[in-house]
Amino acid sequence: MLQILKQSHTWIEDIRSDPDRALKNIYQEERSFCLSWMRKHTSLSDNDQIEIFQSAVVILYDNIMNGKLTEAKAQLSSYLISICKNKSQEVHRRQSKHSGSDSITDSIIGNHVIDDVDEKEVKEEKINAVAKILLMMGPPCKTIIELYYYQKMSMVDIGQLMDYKNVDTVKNQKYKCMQRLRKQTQSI
Amino acid sequence: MKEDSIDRYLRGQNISAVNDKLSHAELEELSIIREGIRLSALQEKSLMLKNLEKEIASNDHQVSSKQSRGRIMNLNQVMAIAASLTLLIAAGLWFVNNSGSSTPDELYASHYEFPAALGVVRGSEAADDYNKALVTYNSKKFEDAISLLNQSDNPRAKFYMGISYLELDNPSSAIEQLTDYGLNPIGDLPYQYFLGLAYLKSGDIAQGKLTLQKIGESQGYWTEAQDIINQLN
Repeated sequence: MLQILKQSHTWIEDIRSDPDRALKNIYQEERSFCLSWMRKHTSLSDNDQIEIFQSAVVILYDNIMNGKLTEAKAQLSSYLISICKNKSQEVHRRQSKHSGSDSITDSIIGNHVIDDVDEKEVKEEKINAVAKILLMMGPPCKTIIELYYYQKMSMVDIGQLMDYKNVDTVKNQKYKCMQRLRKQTQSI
Repeated sequence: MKEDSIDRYLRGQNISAVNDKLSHAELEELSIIREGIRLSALQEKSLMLKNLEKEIASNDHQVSSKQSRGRIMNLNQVMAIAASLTLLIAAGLWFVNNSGSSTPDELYASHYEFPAALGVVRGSEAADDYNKALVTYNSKKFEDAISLLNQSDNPRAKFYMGISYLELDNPSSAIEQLTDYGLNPIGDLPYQYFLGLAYLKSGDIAQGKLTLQKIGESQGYWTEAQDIINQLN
């Protein structure tokens, strides 16, 4: 038990401190196991299985970053399998209605209860537009905004990571980027 | 003070305390921004994993081709040298033909996403012609959009005409318009990325790669451009 907790602490911390490296490692280490599980328990195509596994790793990352997953009560493999299982069922349901698989946007919006379908669509469009604005802004704005607001890194850490002279420079840059983002967001 | 509240809200810290300090409209706007930032961060990780998957698939492919070549070589111990040479040449040709991970068409299809025009005023407020043209463009009525954009003096019109031509499967006209826009780029529209894609779609891989290489690390679409370049190498 102690060993499991220790291990879980390690991978959650790894994802928090160096997401790219940790997620790549997890992807490579857990891929065969999760794909084998899906091959055995679902009738989905190879491409769907890979997409679901990719979504599962992204959801795992999101759950850690937004504080939903702070302490793992199960092993990493079991956690990923449970996400793959839910996603497989969703894809099966969708495919039985109409073709098409899940997207990252659907995963995000799907986590919120929005009663009105129109309202959901409008919100989804706006969220997509903000993501596109960030994509068009590119680094350093996109990077600073994501590191500060999504990964919740401190200004000091961002400064070190991005080679800024001091914390004030990072704060100024972040302020300017946010002003730009908010200005462009108001026009959507 | 207000900036602190906004920061705390966007970082998901002590939201109930922040709620009192921000108006309903501000909270709505910030909620969209927060989810947009989240989506952007997740899309980046998703792209990273897709690229990793391509690497894994490519490595698997190489390992299996090595194994099959190994089996062929064992059989070749009893075959004549000429026959083994023929096999090796065939294996070499097969590898050359199959080592490229994606064709330019596939790269275009997987990386092109319609860039909607932002800041468009809808309905009766859409007073000027350029704005009306963008509303048509966003409605994906590309032929109509081109004729409206063609009448506009706004330099950005050329960018949106370029995209409209891409949507109409006319990469050579898209190249013409996007190149024109690039001569006097007003604003920060990502013309180099779409110009690079237009070249790929037209079959001019070298020019496409060259155009994508011009996108600086500090510009939008840099990650996507690098991804395409890596796959073309």
